[in-house]
Formats: sequence, structure tokens, C-alpha cells
Amino acid sequence: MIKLELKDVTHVYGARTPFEKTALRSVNIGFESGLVTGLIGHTGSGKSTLVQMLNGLIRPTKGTVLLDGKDIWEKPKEIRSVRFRVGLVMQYPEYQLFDETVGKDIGFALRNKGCDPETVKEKVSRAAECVGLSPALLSKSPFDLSGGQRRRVAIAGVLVMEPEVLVLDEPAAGLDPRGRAEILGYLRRYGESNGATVILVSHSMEDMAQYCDRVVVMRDGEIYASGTTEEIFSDSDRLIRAGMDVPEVMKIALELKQRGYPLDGKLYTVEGVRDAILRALGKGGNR
Amino acid sequence: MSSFIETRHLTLDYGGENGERPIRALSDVSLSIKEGEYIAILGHNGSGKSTLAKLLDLILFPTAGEIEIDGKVVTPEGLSDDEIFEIRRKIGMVFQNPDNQLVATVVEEDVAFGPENLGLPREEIRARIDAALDTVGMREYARHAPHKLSGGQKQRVAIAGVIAMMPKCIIFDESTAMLDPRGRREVTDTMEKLNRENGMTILHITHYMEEAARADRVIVISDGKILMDGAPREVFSRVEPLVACGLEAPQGTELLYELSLCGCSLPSGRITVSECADTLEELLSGKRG
Repeated sequence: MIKLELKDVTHVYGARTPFEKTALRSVNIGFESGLVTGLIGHTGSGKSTLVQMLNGLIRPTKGTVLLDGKDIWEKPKEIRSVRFRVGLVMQYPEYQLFDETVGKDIGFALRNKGCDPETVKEKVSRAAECVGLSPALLSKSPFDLSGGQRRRVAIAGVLVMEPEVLVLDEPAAGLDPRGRAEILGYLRRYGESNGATVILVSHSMEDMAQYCDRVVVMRDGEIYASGTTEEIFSDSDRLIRAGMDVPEVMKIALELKQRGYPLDGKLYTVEGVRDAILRALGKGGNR
Repeated sequence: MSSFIETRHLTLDYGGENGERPIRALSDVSLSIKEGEYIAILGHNGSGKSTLAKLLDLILFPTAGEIEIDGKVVTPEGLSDDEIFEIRRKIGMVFQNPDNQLVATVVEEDVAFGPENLGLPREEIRARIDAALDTVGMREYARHAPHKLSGGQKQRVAIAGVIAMMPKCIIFDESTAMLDPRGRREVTDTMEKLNRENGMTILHITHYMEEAARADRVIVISDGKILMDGAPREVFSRVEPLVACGLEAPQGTELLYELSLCGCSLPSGRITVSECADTLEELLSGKRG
């Protein structure tokens, strides 16, 4: 089911000035509920503009943004309610922490929304658990935590609103491999257990291949390609033309295919290539 | 070749004021870095990588142990400010965020900032700017505004600003973390060029294993200590300890490791795409059992 949809969306910055720039050009794209969709594209491809449209931070110059089939800009005064339903985690969100304690920081949005203290407390601890923060940390100052923990606090501050759509711009940037895997795993689980739509923006092809169900590739303000992760990664030439890369393990698989060894399956993850090689050796796909 | 940087039993504690217990960020680190080496430094978040970088650039001074840079032992008491600046000039640093390092509104003025502060003659400054921008391939952007450049271009301008100071060594502290794949390639290509063509010593702190695989030597830091130190081939062949300290091997190495767990007999220490493909071709064509 399509949860959030952009229909014929065009966006122009600085219209009718010498700095006029078209950031998005007739974009049509739908995001399905319950799935993790990856959004990739090199710097300047229009990703950030698109992301800011999803929860009404930017109003498109032309076209409509539909949430559950309803135009979010139908009543511009009620756009705030859309922001409760579509949560946006910006790049390096840990710089936005400000409150005295981790618990208060995570609960900020709920208190603003007018929830009673009991509900706030309960939801805060649930959100903290969602991103693997131990309850003991809730009474600490966010500024005493490590960078990776602060990132989790910031993400929990959005999860606490239980958004139906969760949009994250580079949630794992700057984290070590284990930290990346943990955060991305938590986000996937949030989507699965809440039936939420998760949209991930990332530069890491390895992460996209591993954690996304669908991938959207942007180029020069347009949707260059979109499909299941398998469809997108099966056309490596197209990805490279969009200024992207393919995961390292996939380069190895492609090289072997070129040398005449037939491999098939999910050649964009380590496990996929492992199983493909085992099958080619006649050892079966699983351990 | 003698060492350019030598650290002996380097230890650094943070905090410890007001009777609090200090936090040990680095403990007993002894390292020797020769001029012209290309080294990658890996470690989990909070492992002490950046602390080490700051110690080498004299932004921090050790709690215990000593550092020798270019034959000079560094202690805060033993050196005048001028001497500290003299040493810092030998080691430049490029940081993570491309938006936090550029100070001017025109690319070439930004690159000029360092040399201008050295009080060099005008012609010398001009020559250094041009050479530095040429090296990083940004000469044609000399008169552009930095904020209109891509992340990779901004980082290359930041590198040019460091090169214009003519250091012997550059430390890159996760300088590729915020870039897209193209930007990362631009920056790592620049590092490699500086090392191979200009003989510059490069220390590259990164979370990307494929980037580390390009270096001549990889140092792994975990919980403030040196866990491994060797050629990429040696370090990455030890998949288990890497994973145990929150890191990973490059995907190709991991693939071979996974296959060997499934009973295929494969050598370790293969890193690059073509090496891994060659090894797997032997396996698939039946030359290996």
C-alpha cells in the first residue's frame, strides 16, 4: 500500500531571481508502508529537497504530496499535524540535543504535544529501548554521552512520536561498523513492528544493499531509477552512470561473471554472493 | 630511513578535576612512523583514534610518555610557543566536516590564509596557492565561492589550505565520513597522490575498510591501546579480532572468510576486488578443493 506519494512535484529555489534553480523536476514517487526504502543520489541530486517535502518543511512549487491519499497542503494551517505523523531525523541530529537529561530530551515533542506525564514517561522508555539505550542513561545529561549514544538519543526523540512515516538523512554517518549495523537494525525493526514506512538517505551502497527493501536513485532533480533492491543493484552500469557505486562484494561477483562463471541470486550482499558461489560449487545455498 | 614520528608509552587521561576519576583515552601507545609512510588508523567510536591525532599535532599534551617529532622531543614545558608552532607546521590536519574548515568566501583566499599568517612575501603566497590548488585539481575553482562546491571539492580545498603550509605529514581525521562515493574517491585519490608523488606522510583515520586497504600499513586501536599494526593483508586476515572490537573486514575478505567457514579451503589476506576474484576463480574452476 502506498503511504506517502509525490505527484508531479517540481521545486524551484529563488524563482524569478538570478539564482533560480530547479531542484526537483516533475517527480513521481510512492513510498510503501511496512517497507524500508533507500534514497540515494550524489550531492546536489535533489535528495535533501525531496526529504524536506515529505513532512511539509518545503511546499512544492508545483505538484502535490499525498499522505494516505490526502494532499498534505490542502489546509496549510494544519500542516503541523502532518509533522506529528511523518518524523524527520536530519543529518547529525545529535547537535540538536539541548535538554538537561536524556529522558527530558527524548520526551520534548510529547510534552509539547500536551501528553500527560505518565504517558510521556512510558513512551520515552519504550523509544529508548527501541534504539538500545539502557534505562540508566535516561537521567544523565546528553552531553556526557559518546557521539554514538547521542545519535541514538536524537533518533529516539523522533521515534517517541511513533511516526507512521520515518525519514532519516544519513542516520549512520560517522559511526563505526558495529554502531552502523546496530542503528540500521533498530530502524528496520521499528518499521517492521509498527508497520511504519521507513525512508533512509545514505551514501553507503553497502548499507543500502543490506537494509533496504526498495531503492530510489535520484539524479539532477529527477527520479533516475526506482525498484526493489535486487532490481536496482542488478543494473550496476545504471548506478555508476548516476555517479553511484556498487558494493565491493558485488564488484567481485560481477568480475567472476565476466570471466564466465554463472552466479545468480542476491549478488549485492556478502551472504548472497557466498550462497551463489556455494551453489555454483554444488554445495547448496546454506550452511 | 629514521622515524619522523615516534611515540613512547603515550598515555592520555581526560578529566580528573574536582576529584572525579579521570578517563583514560590512550594507554601506553608506542609507535614509530617513518617519513613517507601511508598509514590508515582504524578503531571503534571512542577508541582513542582522534585523541592520538590531536597528540601528534600538539593540540593535546600527553599525561605520561613522550612524543618525538622530526628528531625533537615534545614536552609542553620544554618548548616555547614558537617551537610548538614550528612543529605544528610540519603536521597538517584535515577534519571531518567540510563546512567547518573553510574560512574565506573565495577558494584561493581560503588557501592563502595559512601562508598569509606566516608573513610570506606576496609572490611566494601566490606560487604556493597555485601549486596547492593544482595538486588537488581545484585550480579552475580558484575564484569560486566555497559554499557552492560539493563536499568532496570542499575537502580538497581544505587539503590545499594544508598543503600551502608545506607540511611533511597530513592527518585526515575521518575526512571522508560525510562525503558521497564520488567525494570519497576524490579525497582518497588526492591522499594517494600526495603520498606517491610528493612523498608526504599520510595518516588516514577512517571507518571505511576499503579505504584503509589502500594504505601501506594499518593500525587498529581499541580501547586506547594498539591492537594490531601491520600491512593491510596481515591485519585484515584476522577477521575475528576485528569484528570483536566493533570493526569489520573489507567485503571481499569477509566473503572469503565466510566461504572458508563453509568448508572451502581459501587463503586469507586477500583484499582487493581483483585478488578476491582471482582466488575465487581458482576455487570455481576446481583448482582448489
